[in-house]
Amino acid sequence: MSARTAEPTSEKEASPVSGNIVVAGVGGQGVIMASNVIAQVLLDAGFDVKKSEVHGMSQRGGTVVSHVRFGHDVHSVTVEPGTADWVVAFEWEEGLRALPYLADEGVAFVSTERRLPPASMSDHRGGALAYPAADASPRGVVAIDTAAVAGDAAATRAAVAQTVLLGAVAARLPFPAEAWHTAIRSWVPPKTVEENITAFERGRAHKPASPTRLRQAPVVARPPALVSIEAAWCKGCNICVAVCPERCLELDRFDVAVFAHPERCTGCQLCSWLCPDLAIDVSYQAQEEHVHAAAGPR
Amino acid sequence: MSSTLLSGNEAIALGAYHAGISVATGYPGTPSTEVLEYLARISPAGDVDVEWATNEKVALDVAVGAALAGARVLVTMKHVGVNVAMDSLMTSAFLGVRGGLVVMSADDPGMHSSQNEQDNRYVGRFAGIPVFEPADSQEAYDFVRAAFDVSEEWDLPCMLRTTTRTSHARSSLEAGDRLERPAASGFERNPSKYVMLPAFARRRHAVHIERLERMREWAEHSPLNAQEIRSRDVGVITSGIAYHNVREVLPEASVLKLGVAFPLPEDLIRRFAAQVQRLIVVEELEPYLEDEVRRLGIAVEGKKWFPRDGELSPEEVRKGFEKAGLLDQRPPAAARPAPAAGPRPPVLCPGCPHSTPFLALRELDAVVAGDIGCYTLAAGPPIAAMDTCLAMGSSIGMAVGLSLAGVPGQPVVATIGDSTFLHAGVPALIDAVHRQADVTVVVLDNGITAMTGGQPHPGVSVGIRGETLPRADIVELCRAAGVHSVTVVDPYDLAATRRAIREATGRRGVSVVVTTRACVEAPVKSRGPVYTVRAELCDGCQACMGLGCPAIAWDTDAGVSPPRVRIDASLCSGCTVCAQLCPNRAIVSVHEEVPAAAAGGAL
Repeated sequence: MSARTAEPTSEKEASPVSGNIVVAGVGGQGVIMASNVIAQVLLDAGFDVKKSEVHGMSQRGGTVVSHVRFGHDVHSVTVEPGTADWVVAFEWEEGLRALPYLADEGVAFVSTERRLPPASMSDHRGGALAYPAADASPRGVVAIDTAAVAGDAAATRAAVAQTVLLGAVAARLPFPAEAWHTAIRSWVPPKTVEENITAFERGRAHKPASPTRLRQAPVVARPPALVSIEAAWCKGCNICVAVCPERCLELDRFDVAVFAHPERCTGCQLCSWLCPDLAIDVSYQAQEEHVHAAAGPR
Repeated sequence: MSSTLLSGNEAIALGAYHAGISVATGYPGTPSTEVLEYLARISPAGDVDVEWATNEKVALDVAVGAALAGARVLVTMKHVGVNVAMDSLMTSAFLGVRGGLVVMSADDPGMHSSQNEQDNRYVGRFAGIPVFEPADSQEAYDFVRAAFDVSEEWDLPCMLRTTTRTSHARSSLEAGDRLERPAASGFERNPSKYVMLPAFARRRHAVHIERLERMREWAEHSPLNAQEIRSRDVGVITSGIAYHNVREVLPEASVLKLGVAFPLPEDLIRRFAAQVQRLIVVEELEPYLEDEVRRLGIAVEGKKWFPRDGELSPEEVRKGFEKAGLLDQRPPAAARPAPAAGPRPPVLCPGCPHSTPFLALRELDAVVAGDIGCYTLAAGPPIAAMDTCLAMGSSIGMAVGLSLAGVPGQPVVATIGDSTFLHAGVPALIDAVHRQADVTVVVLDNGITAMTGGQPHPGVSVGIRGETLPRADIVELCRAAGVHSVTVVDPYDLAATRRAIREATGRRGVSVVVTTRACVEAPVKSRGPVYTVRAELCDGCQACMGLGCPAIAWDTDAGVSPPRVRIDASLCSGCTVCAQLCPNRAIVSVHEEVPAAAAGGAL
């Protein structure tokens, strides 16, 4: 219990008098729905509640952060950095991004689910993934493999797995499970009520073990392919320049295709296949062995 | 107290409904959109005529007309939408109203979903109409009701100015009941008031100036402006969301909270200033109040400590008070490892029909004048095929300008969505034809206003309540404007889209390509059979990654480079475009996938 609490009472857990919760994730994951559930529980418990998030562009697969604040009389609608008692994150990277909100003694429940943003995969040749690996969880973070904890509750709808995190938070708050069930019923789509409540209960019962390791296989780079162009056969039709996914080719001042950016080439051979004059050859034989050796048994 | 939390936008809708409105209109724009949507949900069709307008100016004109006939009218738009309505707004105060007219301007400090962060309090003052500024949902509800009363009492349109945080934040509120108003009594002729010929307008301007003078007295006594005297050491003048952040961060300060940003209660400000040692204005965006206070000859601080751009979050208010020496520096939170999170910009949805036209344009190395909508996201990598974006409907005019000035060796193309085309693209297209400009206009027709969450527009045959309505035909509009070359193509057919755009850009004069395919997300989520990668055929060429589809990601477990890809079945819409891009035919429908391939794959 890390929220500012009243004097301990005879109850099992002291009731918080105020608190800040940040729910984070990727657009489409149900962040806003989850924060609606949390807000409903707090409101039904008699708190003044304010909740704020930004709609609009961030829903298009971007970062979504919802702030929930409760207390006797809440003013600001957003949580100041370093003051969140709980962070609930539906996605690993978004959990890390939201960590600056967390108070010193705060707890972040972060799903180990990864949603790789297209921007993290822009090194098409080298294959370096711009996504935070997690060998160990940062301080204050409880990493939860939501899909594993949810089990068959998320079999039909993968998004249901994140309701596990609501259960994890609920286990730290002194509100009865029925209050959460009621709130879940009133906010999730009717068809998904039962599986959400199952996932919630599994999250509530879940005892987080040692920090979960996130799998991330090492990247084995291979050298760029070599695109050789028979200049005498090239008539400057521009097809290869237009089709190259990495824009490696250009026409020179004689309208002959040249391999201008070998550092970007992934060796896809599209230019070679589509050249009407068979003027392009892509060689990467030496690398084949390299790749197979690196991949090992699959 | 309500048993549920209402957003500021929902509170405005409820407040307007309870104020007895019978007409509501607007154009979608974040953060204003939910007002009309919520209103359509909570009000019976017989009570309120709610419908999206073609653009904000049309919406305001409809509203002024309805107000002249005696109806109470709400009209909603985002801050930049007010610019579109500006022509009508500036003169609307001369005509006045009979039924109350409230214009909601939803500003977007921090530009969460906008191209600028203009402060529309100035617009209200410029047009000479009262500006109401609520700070939370309860005030949004109360102020909109008050604004309707003021509008009728003073024969003026009123502006209700919100910001993203007041519009979208949820808090509880106590609501009253709907005011029963007599039905609108019809239009009464009054040319000297309603026909703004110069002779009449001159008289109306004088009337308006005199009325604003009298309104100053009203502002002095409006209960929406309130003093809270606490410490005499420091007094803060504030408004809107900044009020709550001041109360949060500096609870002991005396506060003058201004619920009316125009006209300002000058005597009240003077009285408040006289009671405190040090006077500070805390306001989001421009130094609007600060300049006004200084104009009264009162010593005041403000933007010296607080930023003029972005949202005035509690942390920014705290920093400002720290700089001003009113708060001790807060000890920094125990060091946490700097978050290693990379950027996650919004992207086009899986299956978005806007992707392929931009792939085709990139292949042509076209100079692309873009516009406002989801497709503006095609400006970012990996598609990166948009070169300009200015304002609603600007793409066509800018393309004409680019082509007039000359762009040697590159086709000049405007890309514009269906809703934006009807909003402000049609006059520009007529202009382009008349000038014989060499431009291609690609109308990205997904049958919805998608960026704002999926609102119908006059180009589709449904209304906001789901009712069937007549619609404008984009292809016929283009032909009627004088475009001879109008091609309609399905953007899911990559080859046909490439061909149509290539042929259109090769033509002289204005050519139009309409890419027609319903938005994958709205009004219904469209899902076909999902696609999968046959791992043994994928050689990591990354051709599909050029699409930027969020459902396609690297198979990071395979540990090879270039990385093989896989498709997240829970995100795939089955649009088939990646399968068309794959040179190895490694991407297939799950129905085509042979079991052996599945066994061999690393999935």
